[in-house]
Amino acid sequence: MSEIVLKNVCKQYEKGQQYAVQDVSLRIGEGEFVIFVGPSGCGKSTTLRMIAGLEEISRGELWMDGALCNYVEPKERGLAMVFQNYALYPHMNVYDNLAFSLQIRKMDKKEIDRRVHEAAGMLGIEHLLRQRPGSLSGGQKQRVAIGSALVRNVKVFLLDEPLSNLDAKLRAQMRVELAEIHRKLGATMIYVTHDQTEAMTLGTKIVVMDQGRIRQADRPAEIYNHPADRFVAGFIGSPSMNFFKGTIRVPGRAAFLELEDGTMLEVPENRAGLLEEKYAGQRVVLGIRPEDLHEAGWPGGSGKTGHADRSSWKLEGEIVAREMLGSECMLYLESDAGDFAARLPVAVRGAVGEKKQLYLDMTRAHYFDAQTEKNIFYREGRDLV
Amino acid sequence: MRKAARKWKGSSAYLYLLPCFCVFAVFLFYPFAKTIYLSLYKTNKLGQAKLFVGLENYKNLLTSEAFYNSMTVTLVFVAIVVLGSMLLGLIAAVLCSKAFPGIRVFSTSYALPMAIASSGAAMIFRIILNPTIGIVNKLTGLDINWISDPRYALVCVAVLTAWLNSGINFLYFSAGLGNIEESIYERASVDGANAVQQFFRLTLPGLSPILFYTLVVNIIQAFQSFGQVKILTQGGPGESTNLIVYSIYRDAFFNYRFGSAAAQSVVLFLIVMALTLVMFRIERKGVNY
Repeated sequence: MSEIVLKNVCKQYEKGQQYAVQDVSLRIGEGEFVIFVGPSGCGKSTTLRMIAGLEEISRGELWMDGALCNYVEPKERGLAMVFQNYALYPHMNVYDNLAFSLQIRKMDKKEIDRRVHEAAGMLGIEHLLRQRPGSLSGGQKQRVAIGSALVRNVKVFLLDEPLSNLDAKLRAQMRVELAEIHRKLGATMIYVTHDQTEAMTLGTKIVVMDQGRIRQADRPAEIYNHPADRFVAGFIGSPSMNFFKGTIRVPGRAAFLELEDGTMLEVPENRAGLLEEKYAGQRVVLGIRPEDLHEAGWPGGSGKTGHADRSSWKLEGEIVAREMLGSECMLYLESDAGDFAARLPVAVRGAVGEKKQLYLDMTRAHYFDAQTEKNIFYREGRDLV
Repeated sequence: MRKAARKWKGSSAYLYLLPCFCVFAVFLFYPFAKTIYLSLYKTNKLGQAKLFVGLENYKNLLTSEAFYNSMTVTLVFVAIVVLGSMLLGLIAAVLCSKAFPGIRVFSTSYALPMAIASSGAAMIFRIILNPTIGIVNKLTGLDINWISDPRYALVCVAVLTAWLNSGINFLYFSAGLGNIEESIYERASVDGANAVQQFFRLTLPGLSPILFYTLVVNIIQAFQSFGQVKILTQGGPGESTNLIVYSIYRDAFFNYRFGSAAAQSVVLFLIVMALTLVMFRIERKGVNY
């Protein structure tokens, strides 16, 4: 049992100054792989350091295994941490770096030796044990840092942007290895990153933070498919979601979204009810991911679903850039309704400077309140639909 | 033609060294050579070499009890000074390595001895250690004549010198501590190390290159202490604080035995050089990382 609970945790570095972390409440269950993600300065590292005990908690409570831990020394918390810059001890060789935490606990030498070799074997660094950190490459240092956390045999691992100093290829490889370590150990991992690919691929739960507050905490698929607000929607997903400002119009029986250039997009039935009722005549923000834009002729590109007329879901823009991604192709377009991007099959026609008409899959669109920026259809972790 | 140009290019480097060489020649190389030369002669009162005696000055030295006394006194003095000044500097630097309100006042006062002239400090110590009005006796309630008692005089001079030399050590160690990455302490505290373990397993090894350098500089500096002895004790009481540099000064400018003084200078030079060489040999083996 190793449950970590944060209750309204706040961090204020100096009195009267802005909060670095504000009212963070979160329950982290045993064996979870929780990812804190957000732009730099959002408070994710600070939150992690408060869990580690390296930063004092200004207000709120931190509970671990049912005990209040606000004032427990870092070394008493039974955590292992991997730092962004690896924090290897420069004057010790790799073996001593791995063994340090056990040596200072005066553990039996044979047991230390066994654990060090086990961790080194797991990470493939056995041949480096006699070397000093100064002579290692970035990836090797990273492994040593992870290894020195592994030897502790603890239930909770804290990782502070552990892969950010590695090159792209190594990062992908270490990502796979981390996922495997997590599967093997079954320990709780709390991981901080600003890279949403790491967040999406590694996490069993993603905590999206911005300006010291949690914006949304949920499973990766939920975060992607049902973002709680415009910030989460824009932050998760690459390239990020397209946003269009518009107004809800209910001229007759059907509801429409009028974009700034006058385009009228009919709102599909499953969304129409609430929008007609509460947002008629009001401003909303439409969010749609690049992969939900299509060329004419996509399955069901014309005709009707329910009473909504799909042929109205089109938007024209001028192509300003075209990126070939291999299996797919990105088009970046400008229109009077706003700039947008689309992820399309490689065969798509259209050169830079040409006009292009694309269809929006409105059944997969998100609607955000223009004022609060909240997802209109988001309630308590799940969409209404 | 081309060959000449290359030759000029190669030797032009010496041209750049010339100004520095001139200064060294006047103030270092010439006096050094002259000292060795003088050490082989008997001199008149003006310090002019008069009679070549070969190694007799050295022979006299090595058979004189006064010389051995002054060697012993110097070694004890150096040991106290080096240990004291390095400990003082290290403790002060560790205390000032964390930011706290008023840190500037503290670090300035720890570094201040560096800026005090040894003779000035000795004058102040004379008042502090004065048996009737000095603050040391007043505070401790003791009645000790610190400077005139052969048992305490050397320790007093050594403590004064240790304090004087601690300022620069404080600076060296502060710089050394600044070079140790903060995050390894954070990792150590999560790893479970307490403050004492962190100091001995992280701070000291992290300081080891600078510790070594400071040790060498301190030893050389301690061997050359002069001003505080001159002001505080004049080598007395008896011969108890007659450090070798002071003994050189006394032989040359009181007794007008320039030959003997020169010979002592050469011996001092040999000792310091030997120590330095030995220490660099040790350093190459294990201090670096």
